[in-house]
Parts: sequence; C-alpha cells; structure tokens
Amino acid sequence: MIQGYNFAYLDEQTKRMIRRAILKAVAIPGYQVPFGSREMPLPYGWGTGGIQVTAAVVGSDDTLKVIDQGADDTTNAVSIRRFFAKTAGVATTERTVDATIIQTRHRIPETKLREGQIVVFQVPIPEPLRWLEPRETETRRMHAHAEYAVMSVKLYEDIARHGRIATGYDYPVKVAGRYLMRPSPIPKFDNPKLDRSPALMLFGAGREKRIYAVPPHTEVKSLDFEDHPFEIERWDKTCALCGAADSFLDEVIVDDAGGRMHVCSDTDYCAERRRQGHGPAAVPAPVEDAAQ
Amino acid sequence: MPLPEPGFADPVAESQRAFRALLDAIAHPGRIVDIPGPAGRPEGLSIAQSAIALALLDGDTPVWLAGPCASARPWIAFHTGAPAAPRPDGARFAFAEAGELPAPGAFDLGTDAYPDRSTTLIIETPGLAAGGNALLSGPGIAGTTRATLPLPRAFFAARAELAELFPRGLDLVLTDGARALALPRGTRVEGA
Repeated sequence: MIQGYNFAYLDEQTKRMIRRAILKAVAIPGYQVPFGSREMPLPYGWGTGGIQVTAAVVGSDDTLKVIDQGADDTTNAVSIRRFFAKTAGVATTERTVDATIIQTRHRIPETKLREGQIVVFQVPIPEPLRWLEPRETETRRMHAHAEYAVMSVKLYEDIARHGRIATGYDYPVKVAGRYLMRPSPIPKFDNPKLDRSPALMLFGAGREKRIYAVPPHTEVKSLDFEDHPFEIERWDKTCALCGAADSFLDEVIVDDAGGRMHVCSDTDYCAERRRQGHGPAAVPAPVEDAAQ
Repeated sequence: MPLPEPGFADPVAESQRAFRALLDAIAHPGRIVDIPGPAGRPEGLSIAQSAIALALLDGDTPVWLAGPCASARPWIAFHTGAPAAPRPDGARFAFAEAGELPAPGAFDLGTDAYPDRSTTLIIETPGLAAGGNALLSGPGIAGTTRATLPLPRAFFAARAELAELFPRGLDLVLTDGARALALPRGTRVEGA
C-alpha cells in the first residue's frame, strides 16, 4: 500500500458527497443523481465514474474484482485493480464468487450474482434520451414527467427500417416501472441479468457527473413492443475453450489466414468451467497432494 | 465549558462501515442492520443516529434536529460542521424521536426534476423488530417482508399520502439503539 493518500485515494469530504448521492440513487431507482465528480489519475472514458463509486463504497474487508468486457486481464481492469490494491490495500480476486464488489466495464458476469454483492458499472453516457434530445434541461423535464414516448418512436423507427430493433448494447430499460435508464454499454445479452438481481447495481459516470442505481430484487424491463418482444443475442457456436452454450461469445481471429474462433467474453466463467473439466480446453484435475 | 462527547476514533474506517450498513439497509428496505456507533455519543441521539450523523453530515448538509434531538446540536456542529436548518423543509438530514414526530410532509420532498434534493429523516424508535404487523413491498424487497415499526398509525397514513408524489418523497431511517431499518420513499407499508 502506498503512503500519503487517504484510504481509497479520495478525501473524506468527497467520499461523503458521493455516499450521499449513492444513497439517494438507491432510494430512487433509475434516477440519475448529479454529483461533484473529481479529477482522477486516469482519463475520462477509462472508468473515472466507476472508480469514484468504488472508492466511496469499498472497505478494508472487501474483495474487489474488476472486469473490462468480461476479462480480468485487460489493461483497464488490471490498472483499476492495482489502483485499489495500492490505495486501499484491499484484497482483489478474479473469481466472481469470491468478490464482494465487482467493478465492470461493459459486461455483467455470467456466474449468478448473489445477495450482498455490489456491481459498479462504468458509464460513458448516462442519459438514455441524450441522442434523441441534446438539451439537459429538456431530458430532465422528460424524466420528471416520465415522458418517454420519444424512445418508443426511436425503437419503432428501427423496426420500420431494419425489421427489428437494431440496438445491440446499452439497450434502454425501465426501472421499477418508472425511470428510463441506460444500463451502460453492456450487450443486450446481459439485460435480463439486471432484472430482479439479488445484487445491488451502482452506476457511475465520471465525465457526465451522474450516479444511479438499481436496488436488489427490482424489476428492470428492456423496452419492446408486443409484436416485437425483446430478444437477446444467440450463437450457433459454443465456446471453443470451455464448450459453454449459455455465455456471451467473442469472435477472435487466431491466425493470418482469417481463422477465427468463438470464446467466452467472461474469462473467469470460462476458466472455472475448464477447471471443472468442461470443453475442448479442459484443465486436467489437479493430482492429490501425496502429503495430505 | 465541558468537552463535547468524542466522535469516531477512526473516522475513515468507521464512516465507511456506517455508510455500508446504511446502504445495505436502504437497498433492502425492512432489513435490520447494525450500525456501530462512536465511542461516545451525545445526549439526544442514539448510537445509530450518531454514526449516521458522523458518516454523512458536513458543511454542505443543513440539518434539522427535532424535539429532544436538539440537545445534540453542539456535538454535530463540532464534529461535522453541518449548519442548522432554520426549518424542517430546509434540511438535507433531520433527526427525530418517535415521541415527538413532525409530519412527513413538513420536510423537503425534492422536486420532480431533482427528487434527490430531499430530506432524509432518521427517527429513533424503541422496539424496532424484524417480523410483525407491517407488510413492506417495493424495490429492494423480494416479494414482501414484515417488520415491527413502532410509530403512530397517523404518521404512516401521512407518509402513504406522499406516495402519489413519487419521485418526490421522504426517505426514512428508523433506528433503535445501534440498529437501523430504512424505508425509502418507494417502499409501500401496509398494516403498520
């Protein structure tokens, strides 16, 4: 742990302000609470909102997992994990089941979340109506009156043009029957995991200075139409490493000849399945220690 | 002049712990959580109330102290620097006792555009318990849950009338010594 910084980097006044915002965010599910976002030692777009939320929430007895697009071993995930190991001295893990706080960029783990876990999402654009209405004063009024018809029109235009709703990620949801919310750029594959999850979901947007939340066991409905129901992505392939047919797959180019394979985006889920002996790349069971 | 009672011995760790307990309570309305308090607490506030005050108040949060809680004013001013709100509807946080309860509508309920700019009311109420007559439902609760909420029926009737103002509303935390239970604005309470 490095000396000379407050626990988890932020000063206590800032943490208090963020904590007050988080409590109001949980009390008003899906509503974006403005907060005084601080300058962080990494650029906007690298998870400054998520880091500030994690810094306000984390305690010395927490175990932190950080993922970027499902992977624990990418630059962004590794740096953020190290940042908290250095500034808060907290235990870190790559295993979803061992984590008490999971900070994520653009995925929700495949492993079922449990009560008591907190997921912190890194959010680039918190406002679901932003591309339809650029003025903050207007979008705020639209949220105040739950005036969301413009989003239905947008989705309808998708159907008219493409024959289906073309949004594949950051797919708009309605929280607890009231607020329209951006789930952050997770694939719509992950939207059903938000619905009535036992875990607490916190969303932090650093550049846009907003915090919002979905409490546990809360209805999160992906917008759709009766004749065009919400559907998630499906693959006719399984993971080339662990054989999973139920996880979100990334297509990876493996050679110069255009060869490609599909693998789990969630590295921990994939590794855990392989440890359990699943798939073409199953890890052989460890030999029992003779000394035991 | 006597010294004020002490606050947290380890403000960084203890504020975090108190906040997490409160977060757990607000995320799971009706769940009773333990909020460990400071070594000494002032006259007028319970252990959980003192801990919440130390964890969340500062110069940006006008506070209103109802009835007997007013004795804690010097302690709050010394440890947190929170200014006194002249009226309940000017307070970010308000502390009260079950015996001398102001009406829920007397507080700041926020606006439709900024419903977060509303009072959080923390009430000390002896006899708080899990299970009981009050049936709770809403976000954070899987189905329904039960609790004993020893506050006057009229208070809950007045709170229920605020429900139609949602997203405006009053967030409640009920404390009993070192334990607390939250009723954020979206929690429906029947039979209390």
